[in-house]
Amino acid sequence: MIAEDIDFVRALVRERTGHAPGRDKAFQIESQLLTVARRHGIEDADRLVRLMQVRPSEILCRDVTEAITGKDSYFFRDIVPFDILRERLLAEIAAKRAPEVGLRVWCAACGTGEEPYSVVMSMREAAALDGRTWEVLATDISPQILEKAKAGLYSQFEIQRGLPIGMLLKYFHKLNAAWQVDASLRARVVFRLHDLRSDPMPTGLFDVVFCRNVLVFFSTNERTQLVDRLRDVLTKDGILILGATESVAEGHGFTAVEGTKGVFRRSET
Amino acid sequence: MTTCLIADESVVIRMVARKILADLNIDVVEAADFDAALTSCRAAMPAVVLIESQIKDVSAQGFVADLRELPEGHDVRVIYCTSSDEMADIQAAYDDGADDYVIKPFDGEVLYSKFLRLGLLPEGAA
Repeated sequence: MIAEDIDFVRALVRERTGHAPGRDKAFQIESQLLTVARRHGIEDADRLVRLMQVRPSEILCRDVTEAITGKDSYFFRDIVPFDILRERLLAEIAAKRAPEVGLRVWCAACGTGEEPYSVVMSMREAAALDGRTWEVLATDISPQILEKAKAGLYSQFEIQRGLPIGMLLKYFHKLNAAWQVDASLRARVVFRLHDLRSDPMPTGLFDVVFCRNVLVFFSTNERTQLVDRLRDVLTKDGILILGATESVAEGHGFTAVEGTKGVFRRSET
Repeated sequence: MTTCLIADESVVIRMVARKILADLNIDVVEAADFDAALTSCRAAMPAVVLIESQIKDVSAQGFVADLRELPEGHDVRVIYCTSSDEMADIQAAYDDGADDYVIKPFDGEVLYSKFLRLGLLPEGAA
């Protein structure tokens, strides 16, 4: 690839995340571009860059940015948020609700489904939720990504990223050369298209909102606005789960949950 | 430093795994069969073993049972690493007491996520 194209992509990533990979990462950038190009049925990395220059699409730009910044999906990504959700947070929330009140979880910018299915597995395994109703909403800006998430089909490599053997045996089945999330699990997630920047927030309140590794793609102002809007859809003691390296600035009505990174409880302000 | 014993008759697999694990700051000891693997464990117990489920018609089941009988052998993490992606084989590994299962071919992210989940990597490694 020519240096100008690499610089174009570096500028795009800088514009959307505030930082960009160095020129010495040209090889990795080109390799990631090729992966994104193939996913979108584009012949090669050069044509992908040309397309973004001529007709920039939000989906392409986002996919490229995510691929280059390493926002890959894992099941149970970072482990701790899911462990603490299953072992402690769900029990604490359930204890404060009448038995007939259901729990609601929203996975905002859910990607290819690893996160919402990890949430559903955690909720299935949480003893505190026995006999209680609950629902999981998963949203993403990209129709293609949402289709993959809905299908719940994963390659051998995808299935092995973060998914423990016990969960694989319990909740997945082989489908030709791929693995699919069991229908009973897929039925527990409602998938919807949603743009966190411009669409109104989903209706109703949520006990837990996942919005992981998303803030990095927003400007400082947008981040503040998004955190405030997420706070508005949380129950008064609801939990906001961000990426392990993300946090909420003080004064926005959240307190960090002890022993975690990126997990916050809505507090009264 | 965490040590991993890799038991596999394939030199290539041992080399690939060694390279990936070296990047994760994990020391590697190699064995080409289960007898050598057990001898190695007796000499110095690793934190984790990454083993082929069958080497030269010998199943890993016996090795895992013998390993568990050794002093300190009970706490060793056992990861099966095989080319079979059949549910029955994965179930058999689980029944043998494997802590996890890696399907060949694998990449660095697969091993990284498995080792991370089993608490074998310091937080934020790699």
